[in-house]
Amino acid sequence: MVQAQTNTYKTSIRITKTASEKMRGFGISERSFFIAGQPFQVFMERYPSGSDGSLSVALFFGREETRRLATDVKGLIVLHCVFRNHQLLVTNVTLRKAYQALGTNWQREESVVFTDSRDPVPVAFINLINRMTPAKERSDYVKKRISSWEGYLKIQEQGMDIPDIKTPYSSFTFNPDFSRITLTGCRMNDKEWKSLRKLSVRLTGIEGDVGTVLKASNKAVEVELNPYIIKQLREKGHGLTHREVVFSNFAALSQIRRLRQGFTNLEKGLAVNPQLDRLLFEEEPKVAPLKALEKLTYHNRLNEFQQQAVSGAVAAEDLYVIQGPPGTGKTTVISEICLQNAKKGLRTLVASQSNLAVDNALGRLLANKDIRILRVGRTESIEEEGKKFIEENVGQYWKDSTLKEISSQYDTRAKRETEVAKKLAATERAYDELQPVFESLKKAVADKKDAAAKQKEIESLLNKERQKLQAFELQREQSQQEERDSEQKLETLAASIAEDQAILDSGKDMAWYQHEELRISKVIQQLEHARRLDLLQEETAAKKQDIATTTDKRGQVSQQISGKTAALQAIDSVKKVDEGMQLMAQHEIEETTAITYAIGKLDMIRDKMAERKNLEKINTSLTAAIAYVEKLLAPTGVALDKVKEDALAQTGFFTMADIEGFLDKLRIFLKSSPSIDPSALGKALTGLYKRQNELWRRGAELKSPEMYIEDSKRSFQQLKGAIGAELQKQQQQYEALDAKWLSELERMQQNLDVLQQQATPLPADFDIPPDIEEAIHLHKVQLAQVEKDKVSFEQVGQRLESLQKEQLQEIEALEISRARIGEIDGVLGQVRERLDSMHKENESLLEILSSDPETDYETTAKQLASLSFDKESLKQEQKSLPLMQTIQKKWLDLLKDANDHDLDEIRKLYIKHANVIGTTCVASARKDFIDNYPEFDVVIIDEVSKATPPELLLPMLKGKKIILVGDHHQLPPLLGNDTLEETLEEMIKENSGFEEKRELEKLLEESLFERLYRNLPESNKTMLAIQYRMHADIMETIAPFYKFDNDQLQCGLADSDRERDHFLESLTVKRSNHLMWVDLPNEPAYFEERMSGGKSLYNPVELQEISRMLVELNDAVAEAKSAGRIAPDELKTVGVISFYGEQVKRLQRMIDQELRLPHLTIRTGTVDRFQGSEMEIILLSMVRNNQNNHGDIGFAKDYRRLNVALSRAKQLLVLIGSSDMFTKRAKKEETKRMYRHVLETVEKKNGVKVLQKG
Amino acid sequence: MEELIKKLAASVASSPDVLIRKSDVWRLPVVLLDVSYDRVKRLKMDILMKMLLFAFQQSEIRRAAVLADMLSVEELFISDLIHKMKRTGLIGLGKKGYVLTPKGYDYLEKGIFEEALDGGQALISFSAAHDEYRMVEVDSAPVDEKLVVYRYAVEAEANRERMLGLLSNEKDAVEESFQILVSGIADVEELDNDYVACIEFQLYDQEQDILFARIWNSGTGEWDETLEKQVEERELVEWREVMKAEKAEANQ
Repeated sequence: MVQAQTNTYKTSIRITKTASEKMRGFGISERSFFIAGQPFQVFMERYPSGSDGSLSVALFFGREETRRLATDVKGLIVLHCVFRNHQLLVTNVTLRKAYQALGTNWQREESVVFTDSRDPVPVAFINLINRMTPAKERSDYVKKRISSWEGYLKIQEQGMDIPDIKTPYSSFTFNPDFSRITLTGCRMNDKEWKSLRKLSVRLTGIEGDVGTVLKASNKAVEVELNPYIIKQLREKGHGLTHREVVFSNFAALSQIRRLRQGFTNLEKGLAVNPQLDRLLFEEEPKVAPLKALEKLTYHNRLNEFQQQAVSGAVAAEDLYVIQGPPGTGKTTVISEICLQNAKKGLRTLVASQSNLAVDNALGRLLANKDIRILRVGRTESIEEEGKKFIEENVGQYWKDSTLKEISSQYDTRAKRETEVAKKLAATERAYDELQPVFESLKKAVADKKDAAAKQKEIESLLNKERQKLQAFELQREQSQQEERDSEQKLETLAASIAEDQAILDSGKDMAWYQHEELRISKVIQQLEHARRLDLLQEETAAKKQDIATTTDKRGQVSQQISGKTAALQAIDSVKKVDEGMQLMAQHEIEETTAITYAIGKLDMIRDKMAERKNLEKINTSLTAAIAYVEKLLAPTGVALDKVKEDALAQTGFFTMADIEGFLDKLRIFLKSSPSIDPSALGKALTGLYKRQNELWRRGAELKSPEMYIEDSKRSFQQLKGAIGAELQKQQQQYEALDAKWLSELERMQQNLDVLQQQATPLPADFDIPPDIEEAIHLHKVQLAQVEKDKVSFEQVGQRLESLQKEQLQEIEALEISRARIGEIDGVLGQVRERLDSMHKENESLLEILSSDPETDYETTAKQLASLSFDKESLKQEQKSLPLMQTIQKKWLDLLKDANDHDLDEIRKLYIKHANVIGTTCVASARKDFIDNYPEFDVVIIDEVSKATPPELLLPMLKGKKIILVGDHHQLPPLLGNDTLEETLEEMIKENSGFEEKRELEKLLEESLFERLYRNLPESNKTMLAIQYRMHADIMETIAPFYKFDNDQLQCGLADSDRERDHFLESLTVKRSNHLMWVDLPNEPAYFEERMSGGKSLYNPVELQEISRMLVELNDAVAEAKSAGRIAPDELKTVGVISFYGEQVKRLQRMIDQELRLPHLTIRTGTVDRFQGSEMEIILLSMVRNNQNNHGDIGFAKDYRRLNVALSRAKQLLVLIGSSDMFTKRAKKEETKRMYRHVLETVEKKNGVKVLQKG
Repeated sequence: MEELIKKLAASVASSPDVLIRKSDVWRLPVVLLDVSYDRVKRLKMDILMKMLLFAFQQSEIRRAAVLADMLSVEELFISDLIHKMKRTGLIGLGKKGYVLTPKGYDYLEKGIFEEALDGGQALISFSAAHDEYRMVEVDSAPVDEKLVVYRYAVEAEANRERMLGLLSNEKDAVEESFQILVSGIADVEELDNDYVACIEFQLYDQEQDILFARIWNSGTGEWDETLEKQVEERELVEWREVMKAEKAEANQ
């Protein structure tokens, strides 16, 4: 719980005014925080962050540390702090009750030095707190998850809250077997009567609780007696005078209180394993990886699965789960784990739901000096198996086991003395015998060493010789190559000579070659000509065509030329501009500058002439007007000259239109007034003069008409000249074109002539071959050959001579090579001989080397050493034996005589060093237990599936590592006398909260164990898959229940028939039967019956049948005894079980009252109560048999119950019931399938017996 | 006696469902033994400490582990004790191993020494039927000789070991650092056969259809389970047949 402290943090703190005041109130001196810089051990708990997100933390001071701060304060100081502005600010101070736990999993213990400086808080310190989960979050998480377990407690708490009831009673009776007492004459009110069930009972005059109330009805209270109280009652029962009884709920209540305390402790973070809440509630528990382990040595004989479970459980850091189907040796595994832990010095808690299971587990632990088992619990409720481990008996237990061990050692050693002497002699003899063998081997090894050296030498010589051989062989090869080369060359030479000779002898001479050359060349020429001729003819035709075209073009051009000539002649006769223009259009003459100018000038002249005519006309009118006015004025005496002079002095500008307008006005004026005012007339005359003057001025600017005509003539002549020039230009262009065509034509004609000349025809006798190209090619080849032959013919004589010379030289070389080969062969022979002899020597050495005296030598040396060691240790033993014997003899005597007082010290030591503690889950939360054993290294919980999660939590809280052992395919916990299903169904009906209801349903579906087993990684779980209890036939019936697990259930019995032989032969049961079904018809005569007024069922026919079976079995055992198959004093163990309590009750009565079965040991019980037990023979009374519509088979439909029922028998399992009922009438298909598998297996084993009544 | 029977009958039949079918008184033979025993007085001394002192005296041992192997005792125990003995000056570490100090020798001697005390005498009653030994006070009231002897009585030889065990349990005593022990049985004198009167009821629980026996042992003053079982085991089936026959007769 307490984190390892690695360093001390140093931080400044500041204190608010409020906090300061409170400190003063508590008598805490602020200064004491800072004295001497001494660190404080504080527990830090992170608070949820404030609304502003500020980091908030509480610092808890333990008792010692509180005392340092204040001498007189009740409780422990808590500083409530926030981090603000990089400072740790104490905002409040409170006191906490001293007994409240410090160092929970939600807290961290750290060493802190406080300073009153203004330094900022170190980052490491802030980070430390920042990394913590706020305690509230963790505990809220637990609270939320654990609420799903509330259901279990609620069930148990129902109607619990009642005070003790004390009442007198008038009489009591014991039931026949003294297991119950019935009290009558109690005086209680109705409410009290109703609340009696399950209360514990005390009778005045009897020490301790006598038992618990089984039922209270008809004014009688039936009490189930505690087994340990019976002896007292048998003695004191009849003498009870003060008849008073107290019913109390105290025990049950305190049990629930403990379970609740478990919840609270987990919430507060008080689990030894800080991750416990996560392991329990996370969907996939995050377990720590396994430790690496050295290989374990096992002290029990374990199969592979058991070994895996043990090594896994030892290697696991926090949680390991073992799924143990029936008979798979769970207890052996637990025993081994305890022993492994003990060897490592670890303390283990072995817890289970029931006392019986704890005692069973402890009872089967291996007696070993390293294991010190202590059974803790109420002595009276501990079973025989566990009794020897209770505090007061462990001294005795220790004495017994030590005595046993020492006696056996002592006895063995007594025999050992002679044995050692004998062995020593034998060893010495063996040593002496082996010595010479060793010596000779030693020599052989030395020889081999020498041989190795020699061989190395030879090997090097051999190598040298081999190299020589290789060199000579190489030389020989070279010479041979030369020989071969010469021979080949000679062959070539001879051939060449023959060839040349043949040429010389062929009869052809130089003239023949020249002639032949000429002839072929000519043929080639002709052929080439023939090839060209075709092309030439085509070309000629084309040229002729071109000539024709060109001639035609020339014709057109000359026509144009004559056209232009005609136009030139015509132009002289042109009289008008328009005609000139027409001519231009006709001959497509462009308007040149000269032409444009001439035309423009002509236009201008025409305009001027028109203006002159106009002026002349107005002048006439004006002159007439002047004359008229002058005439009119004349009488008046107006000086006309004066007027004229004045008028001419005035200048003015007048258009022709003005002048005409003036004249018109004057005319109208003169006509309209018969008598004209002379001044007006004067004015008019002035106007007229002025205008005449202007007109004359203008007339003076124009030329005379004759001059204009002259100009016009000149310009027209110029125009004609320009057009003529253009025409002449055109004519010249055409003439140039004509000249060009003419020269072209001449060229073409020339070409044509050449072509026609070339196309001289071939001589008539020349035969043109069809493929000219090919023929040319062939002839060229022929020509080349002839030319070549001609050259070689020229050279042949000279060459022949040189060839013959070469031949002679080569023959000489050949002879030299051959001589050399002979020489080399001689040397090679010698080398080979030497090699041979060396090889022989080497082989003989190798033979020596291939022998292996070293191995023998080493083995012998080892043997010798081990013999020597044995000899020494035997001698040592021989020497020490008497001492050991003396000491152990003394020890034996002391042990034998030891009484309790002598063992007292041992007992104390034993308890002090106890390392395997056994107790029930609930007892592990008792105060004295917690005080003595606050924590364990390992907590092993057995039969986990039979405990409720709240029960499991109690031991789990105490362990660093938790190992769960159980089987979720067997029955879940019983709550009181009811099954979980029944109780939970009731709860669900009552409960309205949706979430809780769902959680409760989840409880039904899956157990804690099952969930952990399914979700843990492979490394943290194992299924023990080999069972040793049941005959293989019986095992087959339960195999399907485990088929979805990783490993299939296997039978560990090598030979089931032999190892699980029941040795019985009877009418019904044969030796070979191990699995049987006595089948009842599904008919009314065989039906189940119901107790009047009760709810439990029984089946009378099955009772009868079981009675018959038991008698038959008893007789069969008697027979087997007399036949010697079974020992005379042996009793067959038989379990008679049923799904229904009422049937069990009747079975028990029947066995007690009606049967005498001296050869059997019979136990009866419900299937649920039988879980964990085994018997040689099991009879299962199935009870259900009806023809109701709903085919209800009640409890029998739970596969886990069936699994338990089927897996109790070692040798023989007999089912008694109606197969039709279970395999055909059952409501659910899966139920039918489940029972069908059982029936089919029984059929396969020939075990079905149909019951015939009568 | 009559009164006792009446009282017991009332007790067993207090339930209206239970009928007393038969009741009987008979005598159970027990053997009365006059045993004289020896006693010694010796120092109260832990067995392991004594053994360690002895071993250190005998041989050279340095390491606790060696002793642990020799004695097959957890090393922790031995280390603990060695530490304690060193502290109290009983042993010291010598050159070759632990050695006893003079105080140690003295202590060992005392531990071994036993002082014989005057012996004692006791009356032991042995019931063969129960295979049980009990201390008895002298002279209980004699049992009527006319009573029949228990029909399943057995005979057996008394076992000295068991008697010694009983005496040790009863007579051993502790006085400060000494204990006084019954060290052996000097003599056993078999007195005349004695008897214990027993009252037997054969009962029938009508409601549950159960026949059963209750036998009051006046020697121990209790309902004697052992005897009840012995009778029931042998006779229950028979009783039922008788009852059936009776019923059949009654029905005729």
